[in-house]
Amino acid sequence: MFSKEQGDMSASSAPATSIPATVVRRLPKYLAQAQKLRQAGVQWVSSKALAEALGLTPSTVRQDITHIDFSGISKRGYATAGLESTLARTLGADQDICVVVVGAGNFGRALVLHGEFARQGFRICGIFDNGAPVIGKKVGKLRVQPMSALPDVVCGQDVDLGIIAVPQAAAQQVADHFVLAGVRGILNLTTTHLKVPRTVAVVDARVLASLRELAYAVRMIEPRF
Amino acid sequence: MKGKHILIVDDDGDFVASLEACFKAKGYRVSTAAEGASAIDVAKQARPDVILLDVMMTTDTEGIEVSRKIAETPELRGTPVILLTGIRTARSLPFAPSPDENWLPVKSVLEKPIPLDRILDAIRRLIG
Repeated sequence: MFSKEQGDMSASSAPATSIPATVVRRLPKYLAQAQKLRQAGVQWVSSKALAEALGLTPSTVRQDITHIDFSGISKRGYATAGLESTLARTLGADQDICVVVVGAGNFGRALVLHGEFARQGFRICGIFDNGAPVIGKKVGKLRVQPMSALPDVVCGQDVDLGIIAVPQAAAQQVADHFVLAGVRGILNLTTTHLKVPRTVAVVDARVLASLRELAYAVRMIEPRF
Repeated sequence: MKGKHILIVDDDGDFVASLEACFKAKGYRVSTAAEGASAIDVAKQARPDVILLDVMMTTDTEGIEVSRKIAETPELRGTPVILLTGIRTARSLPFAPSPDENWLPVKSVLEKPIPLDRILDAIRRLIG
């Protein structure tokens, strides 16, 4: 539903890796394409084919893949299985990552119920809210827990990532709770600019801002009639 | 240093009263506020030399928000803040919050419960 390509890596929270943020945003696309090709039995893929499939240029593809320390073979291209495993290792997609969601509104519940996260290795292991009416309610296999339970779940289940799916006004407060509990990465679905320590990474999945951008782009397209 | 001004921001009335008595006995002037919103107003008026700030007040993280507001308020920017909190024990956190220029702009963090002389030491280190 939300991919990192939609988000902005905030300048203050760039990961420790030397891969530029713009390249990191494209890596999941390469990974998905490599997975698709391998599952289809394709053993080799050229930079040209990858570029065509993903709407990029072959030189961008070649340049991006140098960042993950993977090389192709002349006239054959990249081995799809090796490319997939290297990309997965680079992105941390080769192991399950525990994620918690704060906000049990429509947005938060939809995230928990979205099966694709688990298939991609993101195990949602808790949903939290401060609203008394929703505490204890079931969302899929989970029950909504109060915010006071967050530190125990984060510590007990080695949670790395947290998703903020609350109204904008509460976003910073939730981010503060995440930081205090030891969450190391935050996916921010609000338009609030979050303040976090340098030790915590934030990616803004700016859904509303993206819609505004899209609406503007549509207005700039000449009318069909 | 006698005559310096301390602002205590904490919703625990008994704790505030004991700190206030101790600080006054040592010659400090003292102002108090029981929550974040009034803390900024009191601080703007009193212009304290140091602010002692609790974390868990109206909300669990109010003190963290207040520390950022202090840093963003032109009249208060540069006023040293000591965070005085029991949140690690109260919320079973894995570690105590630590100062961070962006997230938690305070000079130091002291964990409750804490002897008064350690609080005084921290204040003396900052303002004499």
